[in-house]
Amino acid sequence: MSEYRVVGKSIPRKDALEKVTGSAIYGADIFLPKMLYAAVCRSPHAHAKILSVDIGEAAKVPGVKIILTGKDNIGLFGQFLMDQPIIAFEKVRYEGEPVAAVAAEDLDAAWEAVKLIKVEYELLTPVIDSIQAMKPDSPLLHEKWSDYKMAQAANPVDKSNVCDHFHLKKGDIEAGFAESDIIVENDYDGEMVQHSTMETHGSTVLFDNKGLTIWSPTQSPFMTRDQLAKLFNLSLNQVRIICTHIGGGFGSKYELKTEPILALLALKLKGRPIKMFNTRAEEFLTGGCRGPWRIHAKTGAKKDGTLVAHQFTIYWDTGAYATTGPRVSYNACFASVTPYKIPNIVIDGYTVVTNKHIATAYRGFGVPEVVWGYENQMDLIAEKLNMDKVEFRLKNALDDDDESGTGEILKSVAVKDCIKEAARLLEWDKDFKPGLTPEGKLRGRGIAAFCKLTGTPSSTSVIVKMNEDGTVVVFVSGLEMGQGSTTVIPQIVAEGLGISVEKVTTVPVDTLYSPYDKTTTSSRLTFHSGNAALDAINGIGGINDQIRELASIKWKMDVEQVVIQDGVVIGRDNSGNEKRIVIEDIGKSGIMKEQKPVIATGKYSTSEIYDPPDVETHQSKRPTVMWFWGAQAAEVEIDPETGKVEVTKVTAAHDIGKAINPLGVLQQIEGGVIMGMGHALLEEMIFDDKAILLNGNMVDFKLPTSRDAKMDLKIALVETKPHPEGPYGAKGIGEPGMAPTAAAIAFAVSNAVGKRFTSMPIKADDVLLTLKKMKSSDNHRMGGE
Amino acid sequence: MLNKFDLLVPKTLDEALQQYAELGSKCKIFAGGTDVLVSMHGGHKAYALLMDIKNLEELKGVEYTPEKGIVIGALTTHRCLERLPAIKEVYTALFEGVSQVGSVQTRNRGTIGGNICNAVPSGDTLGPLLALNASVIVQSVKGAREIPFGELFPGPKKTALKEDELLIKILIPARLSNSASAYTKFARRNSMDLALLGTATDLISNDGKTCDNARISLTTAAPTIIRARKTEEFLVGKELTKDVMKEAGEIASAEAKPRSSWRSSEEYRREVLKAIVPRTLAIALDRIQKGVNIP
Amino acid sequence: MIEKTITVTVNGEVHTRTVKVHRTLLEFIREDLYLTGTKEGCNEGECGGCTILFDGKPLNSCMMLAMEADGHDILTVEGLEKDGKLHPLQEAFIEVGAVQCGFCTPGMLLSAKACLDEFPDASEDRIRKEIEGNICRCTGYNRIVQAIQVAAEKMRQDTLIVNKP
Ligand SMILES: Cc1cc2nc3c(=O)[nH]c(=O)nc-3n(C[C@H](O)[C@H](O)[C@H](O)COP(=O)(O)OP(=O)(O)OC[C@H]3O[C@@H](n4cnc5c(N)ncnc54)[C@H](O)[C@@H]3O)c2cc1C
Ligand code: FES
Ligand code: FES
Repeated sequence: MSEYRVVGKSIPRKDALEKVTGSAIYGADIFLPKMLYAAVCRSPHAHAKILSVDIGEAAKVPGVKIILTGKDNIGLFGQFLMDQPIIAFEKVRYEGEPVAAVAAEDLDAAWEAVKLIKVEYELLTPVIDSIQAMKPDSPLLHEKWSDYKMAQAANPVDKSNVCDHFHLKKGDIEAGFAESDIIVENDYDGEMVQHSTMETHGSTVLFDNKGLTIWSPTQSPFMTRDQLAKLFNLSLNQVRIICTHIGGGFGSKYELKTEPILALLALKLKGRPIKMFNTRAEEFLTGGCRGPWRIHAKTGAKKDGTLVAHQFTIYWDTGAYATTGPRVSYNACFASVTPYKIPNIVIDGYTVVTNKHIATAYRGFGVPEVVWGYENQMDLIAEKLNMDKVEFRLKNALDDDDESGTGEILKSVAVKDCIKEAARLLEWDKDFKPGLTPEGKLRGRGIAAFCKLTGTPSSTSVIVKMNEDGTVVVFVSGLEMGQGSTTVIPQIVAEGLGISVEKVTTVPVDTLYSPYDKTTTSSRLTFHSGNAALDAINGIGGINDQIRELASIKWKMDVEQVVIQDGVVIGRDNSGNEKRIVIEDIGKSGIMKEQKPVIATGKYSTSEIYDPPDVETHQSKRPTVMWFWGAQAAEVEIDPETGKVEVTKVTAAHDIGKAINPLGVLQQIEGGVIMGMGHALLEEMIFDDKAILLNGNMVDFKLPTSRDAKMDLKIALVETKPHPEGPYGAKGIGEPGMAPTAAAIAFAVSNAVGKRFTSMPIKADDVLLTLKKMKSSDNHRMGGE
Repeated sequence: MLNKFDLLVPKTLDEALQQYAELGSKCKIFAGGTDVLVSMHGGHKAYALLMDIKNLEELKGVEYTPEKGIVIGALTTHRCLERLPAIKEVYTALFEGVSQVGSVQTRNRGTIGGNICNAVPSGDTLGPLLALNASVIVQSVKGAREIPFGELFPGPKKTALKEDELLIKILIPARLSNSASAYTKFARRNSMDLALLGTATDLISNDGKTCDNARISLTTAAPTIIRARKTEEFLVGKELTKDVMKEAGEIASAEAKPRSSWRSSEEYRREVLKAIVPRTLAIALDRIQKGVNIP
Repeated sequence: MIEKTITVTVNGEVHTRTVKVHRTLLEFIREDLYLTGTKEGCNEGECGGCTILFDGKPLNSCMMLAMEADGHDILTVEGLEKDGKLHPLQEAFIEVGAVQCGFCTPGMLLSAKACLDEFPDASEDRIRKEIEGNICRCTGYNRIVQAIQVAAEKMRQDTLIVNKP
């Protein structure tokens, strides 16, 4: 739209130049004088008692400076339950858990020492999945939850492996089912997948008289700072996190990973920076993942297709420690109320610990999983009622002023538009016959819609500073990890100030000087930081006010006589004389020299609008500041003789409110769709019956390659419902791009085969063997007739 | 990160063979390193001594004459073969093998000799070479000998090379005018993947319809790569109709010995064989009909 | 031999160093020459992050010994820019939006360059095949392929201009 000069224009990313020239500094590119290297001795078992750790031989390796073991552990950490040791003591709870750490003059020495550390274990029965973990006689990973300190509210069930139970209730579920003409009840599940960012986890840590300094590609510098300060009993100005470029995050770089163990080493080796980056094999064990999940779903509807009841029970296998599991469950359980109008809802989420790798946030905090579950249910109901799947969804989809499953009267809901757009782009109305094509392929199509909320409450602050030449730097603590924040925020600021975007840059994040920001997750950055930046510009005493003040001094007028309109500073004195200067030219005027610096702070917090959900029912008038809505549709072709699925077409329509940088939004969705395709068809972490990972490398864990990603991808940015509180109406898009992809593809596969697949991923094996079974039962039936 | 090791870099074949005779299994041969270095990086193997054979001229070069066939030096990279017209146009099955190994980067480094000596049942050149009736020349200080491909893999991850023998070159016989070959690699991903299954066919048909002879190999269908001999016998003399090729797939599937592992189940592998064996036959037949594989 | 003195040309500059034989070429480039544009994503030949051009050919530098580079010519991402001018591929990657986190970008650019050097008229399928060894987790590849096509077109135009009498 033409109302804005900068906002809504596609511009190339500001960080691209340093990235294409190789000058961008990522985590592992930090080299410091006197730097030491660390390596970690990791448990080869998933569950075992540590009987002894012998470092005698290892300590003799030339160049080794120090070796720490569980005895040196100084405390436990964790985002919700503080249950995780820096180095395991007494017990290891997952394969790859650190049992000792070495710092040495070079990496050769560090690894040589690691290989010489002798650890004696006594094997314990591993808890391999959430089914086993939930059994009353299951071994317990953590004997007593109440022994742990709680950092944020979680709801652990004592004497069980459940570290958090979430419950949401709306209406009367029993009455709802009683009222239903049809009820579908089903189980869904998915395997563990990994973010597999191209850059592995790691950091460089220095402890000196100033305290801890950490160079890390982290998504959450402030959370890292806070947790480390707590763990090592330091004040916040003694922990400095310097953020490097991030080689991919998707949630995996949201929590503390290598920082605590390196800090523990650094504390003993004052003045020596210590660096460690995971090998790819270590990354598979410890880099975080999306845990396996199971859903039991029961959904009821009337004959005319009106949804009346929806019950969802989710078991999240979150691995050995709680970490962010409760948050994943919380967000996804809220999203489980679906983008449809349903009067009676019950959602239960059990976050369960097992002896598997530690799960964490993964692009959508559990939402792609629950979409897979509830959208399957919607498909099934539509099929039973013989209704078109788009029509059925549109009939039930939420709209403005509807009450959500979370008890909120909704505003700015474009899910219907999204469903329509995704369907239109796929040409849903055209005649489509699923099944065998003349070319001998099986063809099918599917559609899925979703909703997701952003974590609320949270707050963000921003500092905007205008230089003497009129250029502007923005101190924003949201991290650039590929999603484009270093471009979007300058666009918002340039629009707000009325200057060109070339004049605005963001400052690398450093907790020493950057203002507080919660984390770069939950697709919250554009919305929150954007609002905070606008506050710094337009708020009282903001940049605009300061410019007016400068102009008034220069022009010898009262401040009240100076106004800013459309990027022009205009002063009119009492005698009607007018002075003007374009803000763009402010640097040339000399106005900024020898004056107070033009620096303003701005903040955005959602605490005020947030209505804390009821503890019992999780109903709330405003559980979140922003819902994301969208829909995607997919078409597939299957080779009926091998079961191999080719995704031929995906259409994606997302309620973006207002795209600040359409190019950036498209990038997010395109990447999300291909990642979702990988999850639907290719990716899974495979374990043996002792919870040991079998495919921890990049050939056996199958990320899509350039030749797997070829498809016809059409995207619609739906801007029909700008967010009333968003910067220029914007909402977020980082996670949503992937939320419905796997489900849409899965439904297309089910549609092609004529049988519903409920487990993620759907591998060629499953498809072919299903087809084979169907064929033989057909024959059987025919034979019987 | 690689463990510390010592490296020998012999300049001549004689020097290499002499050293190899003395050291034998104490010394790990290092060609392109795409298998050797991977096993070391992962910490699975920690060789103390490597011998870099990349300077040995006798192991380099490709010679092709339509009458005599092709001789390929063991050090020839997959990429080099992929770009050779003789491979693409005449030894098409081999082209389809080498061009699908890993990635461009891997193919620029990995050698055909290394692929053979690594002896895994998923090796992408093995099936084509077996079907194309290749043999290899190996040599030690005691002299050189020729080993037919069919006798090269006595067991899983084993070759018939003695502890002091180096693989020098690969020989593939000249092509007949009424023949064509094809290789199908079936993997979950379209690139950068190991063959979940594979099959190569070398087909002779004088009338473009009937199978006069077929050599069929199966990849990852047993602990080592194998010939599908029953399938071959079944095909000889038959007209290659759709049904006949389909039946050939079923015979191949039955005679294969795939295992169930976390990578896939035996049942699935057998099913895929039923699909890819007929397809590969059909491709080869089509090539004969179009006369594209003629030397 | 446990170490060797090597002379290597990297981005046109000649370096002479003594390296341990177990040092990989990637370690040499990143840690001895501090050319950190070349990335380590896996160290096992599986991601392409460490791709360099070795005598013009794309190779994974994690899968080579540094000593093997003796006497050879290496191009890393830092050498793509010439006389302060970006390579058409770099320009196209920026314009088209083929960069997100950027971690795969250096390797991708070099594979792309090798592709266009060998196949100036590469089709979409050819491009996808030639970059198959470079994993990108962010972009979904579409824009990367487009950017390579845009650069190819630009390079063809440039050649026409140069070849004009
Ligand atoms: C990422 C990646 C993907 C891959 N994908 C595939 C694939 O799709 N298909 C496939 O088939 N392979 C694949 N490989 C494996 C590998 O690239 C090939 O097997 C390659 O051909 C090995 O050749 P090399 O020269 O690198 O062997 P090296 O690693 O140098 O050696 C391999 C083995 O052969 C021995 N050897 C080598 N040359 C000789 C000789 N002349 N005489 C005696 N012994 C010798 C070595 O001692 C070693 O045991 C992949 C590897 C990687 C890293
Ligand atoms: S780091 Fe070399 S290929 Fe991944
Ligand atoms: S841009 Fe992030 S991996 Fe390619």
